[in-house]
Amino acid sequence: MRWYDQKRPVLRTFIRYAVAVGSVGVVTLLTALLQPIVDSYALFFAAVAFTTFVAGAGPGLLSVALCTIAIDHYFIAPNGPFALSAGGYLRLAVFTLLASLVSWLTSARKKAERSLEHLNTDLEARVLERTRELANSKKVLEEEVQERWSAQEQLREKAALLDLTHDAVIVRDLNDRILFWNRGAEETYGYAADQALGAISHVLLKTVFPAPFEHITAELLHTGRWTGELTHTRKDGLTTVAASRWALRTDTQNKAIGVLEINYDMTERKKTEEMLRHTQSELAHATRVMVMGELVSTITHEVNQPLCAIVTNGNACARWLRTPTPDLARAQEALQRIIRDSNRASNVIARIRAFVRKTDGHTETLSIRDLIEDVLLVLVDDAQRSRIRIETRFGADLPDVLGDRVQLQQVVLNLMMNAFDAMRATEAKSRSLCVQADVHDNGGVLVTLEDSGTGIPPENVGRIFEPFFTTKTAGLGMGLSICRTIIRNHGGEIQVTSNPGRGATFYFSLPGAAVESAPHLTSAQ
Amino acid sequence: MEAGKIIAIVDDDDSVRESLTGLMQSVGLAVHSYASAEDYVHSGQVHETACAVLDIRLPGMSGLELQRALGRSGSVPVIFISAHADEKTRAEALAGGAIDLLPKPFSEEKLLTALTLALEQSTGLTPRLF
Repeated sequence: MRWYDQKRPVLRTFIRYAVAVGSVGVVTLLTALLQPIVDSYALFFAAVAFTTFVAGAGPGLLSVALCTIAIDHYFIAPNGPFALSAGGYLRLAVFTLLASLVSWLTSARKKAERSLEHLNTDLEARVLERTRELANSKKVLEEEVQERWSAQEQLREKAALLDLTHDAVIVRDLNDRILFWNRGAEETYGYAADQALGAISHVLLKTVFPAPFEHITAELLHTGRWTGELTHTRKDGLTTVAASRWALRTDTQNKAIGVLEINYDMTERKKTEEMLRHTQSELAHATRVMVMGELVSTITHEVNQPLCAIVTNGNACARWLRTPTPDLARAQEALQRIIRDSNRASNVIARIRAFVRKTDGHTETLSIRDLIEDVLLVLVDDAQRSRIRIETRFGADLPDVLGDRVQLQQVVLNLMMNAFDAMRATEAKSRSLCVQADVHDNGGVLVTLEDSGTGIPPENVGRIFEPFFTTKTAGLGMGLSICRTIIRNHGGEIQVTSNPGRGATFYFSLPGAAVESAPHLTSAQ
Repeated sequence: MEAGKIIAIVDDDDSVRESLTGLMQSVGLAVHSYASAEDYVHSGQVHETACAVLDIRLPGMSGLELQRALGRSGSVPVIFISAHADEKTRAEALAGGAIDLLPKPFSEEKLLTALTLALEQSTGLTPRLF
């Protein structure tokens, strides 16, 4: 930076021109002093060059003018301004010309130096700027890289999360080519990711669709979603059943780009359900067998009693007639008893036939009273053996109910046999079961079975109808669960109350046959 | 009627009771019949019984329990009758000293054979029942 390159431009200009005046003054003085030794104007050139170089072109020209005046005044024509000879003018003109040339050359050189200087400064600034730009773009690039890296990291984390689920997660493009295959999919289907990626998903898994594939695709494209049950074939050839959820993947312009498919393997659940259904069916069968067992016992007893009486009466009758003086009156009595007991046996057979009448899945109008009495007929023997007193109370004007005879018999039989079991542990004298049927508030029938057994502990009352809940060592705990299923299928409800130590009371309701909402019967099995 | 010649019938089935009473009367036997073991035990007739014909399954005290009770209070021959006796019950009855266990319905011949044996045991005489 130049010394005059101050902030105040007026002062700077003044100083520049002062340099011109000062330098010319100094040179004039030196020339006058040196004149006796060196007669030359050479120093004036130096003043012009110096001024022009230091202070610029303007002050340079001023110095030329001042030098011309000084030479003219002091050294050429001391007698007055420009009172010169022709030689004097020439010398002065040559000087002015040469001085101007010196000033111009100096100024030009100075200018060149300046512009070079500017050029330098400019270049430096540009380099600086470019460096800054480069630094910026480097930073931007770094940020971008960082961003991408963290996005990738997030993706990786998400993929790791997807590997935690046991569901098969599959991403495929619109041509069903597999793009993503998580660990759940590997485990479910047996194909490793590198085997599955790129394959056509429903070809790889031999997918069986519940509807035509075009319909499914149409729904997916229309609603963005599809759910349904699919059957797949694993790598080892086994088939699996999956609850499948599909979601359409779209890009930022909302254009479909692929499908995300999540499959929940239901094979195990299906198997369990199947087993449960099978067990229930077996149990229902077992219940029927139990009913048949009871029935055989009842037939044996109920038919053999009158048969025994008939045979014995017949023998007696024959004897009264065989004697030398036949006792016709006693023979007649015996015959009357034979007729009576034959009718009794016949009635027993008729009732048992009504009980076992094939009514599988058959809905009919039933008298709940007849139904209960039929079951009691089966159980009366067991009751006697267990010394249980059975009391029945039937309300007046009981409506008929609509239902499956065999299923409802099963319910009554099951509840009664449970009551018997509960009472066997109590004192024989007080064992009693009261079976009651009344008109329900809703116009149906309410059946109440009150026993004097051990009752149900309060903590078990809420669970007693759950499948596999049992307190018996021999029981499977399905009886009451089946009862509830049957009653609910008939549109009724079953409940229990208990006073531990003083017995339990089971209630079940059934809608009347006339009620509009006919029960929808489904098999209890 | 001679003491010790009465036949006691214990069966809760009216028809069976009536028919047995009739048959035994037709062969000249004196009969008392009871609807339960308790009725019989409290009748005061136990000591006059030459033979007890008992149903196995009775309300209250069962036939087998009555047999044990009779065994303690002297020796009354017992014939069991049952509408559905199994082998186990039969074995228990015979082990307790019963003459026989007749499944209902039974023939006149079987009943009278058992009665003859029972009366021989209790009276020492062979009755003519056939």
